Amino acid sequence: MIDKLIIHKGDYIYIRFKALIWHSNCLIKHQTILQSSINLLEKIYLDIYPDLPLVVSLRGVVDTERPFENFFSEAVSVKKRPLIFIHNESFGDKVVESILRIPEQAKRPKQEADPEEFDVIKVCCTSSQNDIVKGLVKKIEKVEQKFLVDAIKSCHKKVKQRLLSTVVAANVEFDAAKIVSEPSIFIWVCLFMADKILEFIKDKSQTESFNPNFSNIKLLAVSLRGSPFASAVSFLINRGYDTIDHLGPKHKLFDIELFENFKKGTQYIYIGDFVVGGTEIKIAQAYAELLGCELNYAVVLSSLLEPEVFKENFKLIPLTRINDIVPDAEYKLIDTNE
Amino acid sequence: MIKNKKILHLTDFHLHDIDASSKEHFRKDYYEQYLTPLLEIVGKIGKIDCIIATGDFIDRGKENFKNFEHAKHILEYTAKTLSIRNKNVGVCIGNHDFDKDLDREGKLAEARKEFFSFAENFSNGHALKKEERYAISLVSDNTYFLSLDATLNRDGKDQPGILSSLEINTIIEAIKEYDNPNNLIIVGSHYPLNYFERTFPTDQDGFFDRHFWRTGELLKERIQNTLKQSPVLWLFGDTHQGAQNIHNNQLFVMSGRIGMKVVDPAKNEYSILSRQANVIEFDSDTSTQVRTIEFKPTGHKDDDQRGEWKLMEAEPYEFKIDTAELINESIQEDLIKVIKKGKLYKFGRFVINNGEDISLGWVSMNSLLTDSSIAILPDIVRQSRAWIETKIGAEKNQSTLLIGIDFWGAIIASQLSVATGMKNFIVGSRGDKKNYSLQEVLESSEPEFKIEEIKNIIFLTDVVSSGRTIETIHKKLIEKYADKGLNIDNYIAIAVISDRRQKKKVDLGFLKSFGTFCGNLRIPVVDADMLPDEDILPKKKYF
Repeated sequence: MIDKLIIHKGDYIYIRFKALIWHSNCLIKHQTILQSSINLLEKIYLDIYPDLPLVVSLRGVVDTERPFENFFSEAVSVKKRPLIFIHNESFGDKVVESILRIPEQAKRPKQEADPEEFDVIKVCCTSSQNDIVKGLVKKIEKVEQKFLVDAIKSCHKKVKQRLLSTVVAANVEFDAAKIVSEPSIFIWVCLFMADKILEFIKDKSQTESFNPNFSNIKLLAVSLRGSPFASAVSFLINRGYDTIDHLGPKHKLFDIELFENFKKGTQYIYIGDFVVGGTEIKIAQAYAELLGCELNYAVVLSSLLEPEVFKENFKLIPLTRINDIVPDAEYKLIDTNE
Repeated sequence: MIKNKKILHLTDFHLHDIDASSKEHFRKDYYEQYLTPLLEIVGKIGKIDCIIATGDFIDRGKENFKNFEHAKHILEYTAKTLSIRNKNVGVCIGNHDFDKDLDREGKLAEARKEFFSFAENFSNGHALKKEERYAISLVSDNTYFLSLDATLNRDGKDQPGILSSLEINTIIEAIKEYDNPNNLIIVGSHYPLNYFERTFPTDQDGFFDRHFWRTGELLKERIQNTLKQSPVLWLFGDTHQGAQNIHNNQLFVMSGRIGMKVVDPAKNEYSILSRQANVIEFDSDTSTQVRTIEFKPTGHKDDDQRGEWKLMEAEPYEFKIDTAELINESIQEDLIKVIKKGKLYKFGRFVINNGEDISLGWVSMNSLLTDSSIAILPDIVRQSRAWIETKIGAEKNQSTLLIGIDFWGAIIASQLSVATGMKNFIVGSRGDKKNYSLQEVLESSEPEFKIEEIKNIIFLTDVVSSGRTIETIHKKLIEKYADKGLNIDNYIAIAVISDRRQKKKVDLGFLKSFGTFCGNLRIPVVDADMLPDEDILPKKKYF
């Protein structure tokens, strides 16, 4: 499992520490570096592509249960492998201090080095001001985006059929269950989704439309294949979530508690897989309003149309666009009079 | 869970004349020679964890009380040879082991004084709980022995005793403390309280009055209804015949006598019954086996010198899965706490399985599992991971497929996949398949896994009440993959909630293991035609 979590780029390997915490501790204390996840990092450092630099993102990690420099002192003395920490925006003093105590040979900065050639750098970066880190972070952004596109691409197939939720004929269909089924891909996709929502909440926190305390923001899943994403992302961003079984892709309501358990005033963020016409989101929005709540935002894996198209109804935040993934994807309105 | 526990069962020594001139195999100068080959066979079967002996150590009561000392030697020799200690030996009283005259006079304890003194040498001497009718002792790691006195309250008659409701209540209260999936509970009684249909004769000669503990049957029912977590093994003696069966998923073993003088056909004494001992290899995960070892005389006649012990063909028993094993007690407490606090339990007519069954209870899973006050879902995932490891080992992730059924099954399966690396497959099952897209139902979905590589399938769902959903998905899997290399070693199911006292409506015997995180919440399921018409008790909702 661990080797599948690694993104291998030929001249380095990349991992998010949060993926290790999630895998080892099932979303309990997922913002904290625990011994179990340090052990996994140790395994990666010592055994997986041992000749390549190891880049570790600490995005979303704010604390460490115990100092981890001791491990690195020993590991680094055995294997002088380049070890690079990036995404230091969120982690707290304890993490920084721990990194600073890692032996010199692993964290010696080489400011003059070309960021594009970091494969030869032996550096442990704790500052985003460092030029090397800036270059590396940009490169990693592209790496992650490519991983996401490949993951979504892997769950499409060519068809010729009418979509279930919208009066549209398509030559391609996507099955998000394929992403859910493969844990190493599911982890990454959920992490990307969580990044997107946190970024969005941060931006919106300045506006009046969101409660500054965010206590009334919850995620909402209304489909079988959307529910695993909503549940995982809710833990990753520390927000609650609700489920309605189910509004899409076929609308058949099985939940009998719906009207009792949804708190008035909740601002829901819809979590789903693929959006073509947005019907499922509009139905969810109607239910939310009926229950005295709001649903003005939707985060999805991919969308056929530009988010602008839906702006009158809700703000759509897709991780990707369908046509960027499958350029020849075609969706045509069906003339129901024919 | 009980893994490969081995219990040696002996019964009916009937020590009477044990001097050198005797015709008893257990006579003083011969018992070691008699037992040693038996114990060699037992030793080859494997390391014995405990010995249970179910009474009639001596013959004819007070006439032979002095023979208790020799019975002690026999048991000590057996234990020592098998490298176990006296505290790993459990005994219970037989109808030959007390003074009938005193018993008739109502001096029950005094009548049994000699037996009590003998029993003190073994696990009964370290009893955790003890009353006139029973004693509970620890005979091996996680193995509790309930020693019953099946002879009390018969006024000295040579018949099974009378067991009162009060006594049954007392025993139930005492034993239920040890009800835990990791504990094996052995119940020992001299008189059988279970019917062995192929062995017991018709009642023409009053057999049942003399040998069957009728009032003990009530205790059996209460124990079967109360102990829902521990596997239970029942051991009996008295009839001198061997027999075994499974009843309500519990194993009952009656062993034949091991002692008693050889029969003399000239005196119209004749018995075709072999002397025997049984080794029960108990494993609640795989099949349990009863290994019978019989003493066969070399010639045609019962002989006190010549004969040999033979290991008979083993009888394997599979325990049927009809109730779920509790996976974690503290999660159960948390779940029930949240259900109470949030008033998440509803009582009414809830139609399930397309109207075949009615559930009288219903729990809001959304509110239960999204409750932010405690991290129930991550705990469920972590404990599921650990529990599965005990069932299939830690190295089977690549050959294991998780099937997440409906929303909560899908959520748990996806999280468990992250924790284990196992692949998952999510399916919708509620109502009609027309309620889902083709990709969401088992029949038409196109999952990525290669079925021929899958050896373990684990079903994950929110509630199992009648068991029909899991049964249906199992059938559909077979239909879909039978000719595509389906060859599954283990089917396992995990439900967040499954009332352990509610018998399932279908046979879930295809499951190797079935676990739940909440088995104590009553969710009765009844046949649809058991309830009044809907204009009297309206239906709630189909789901």
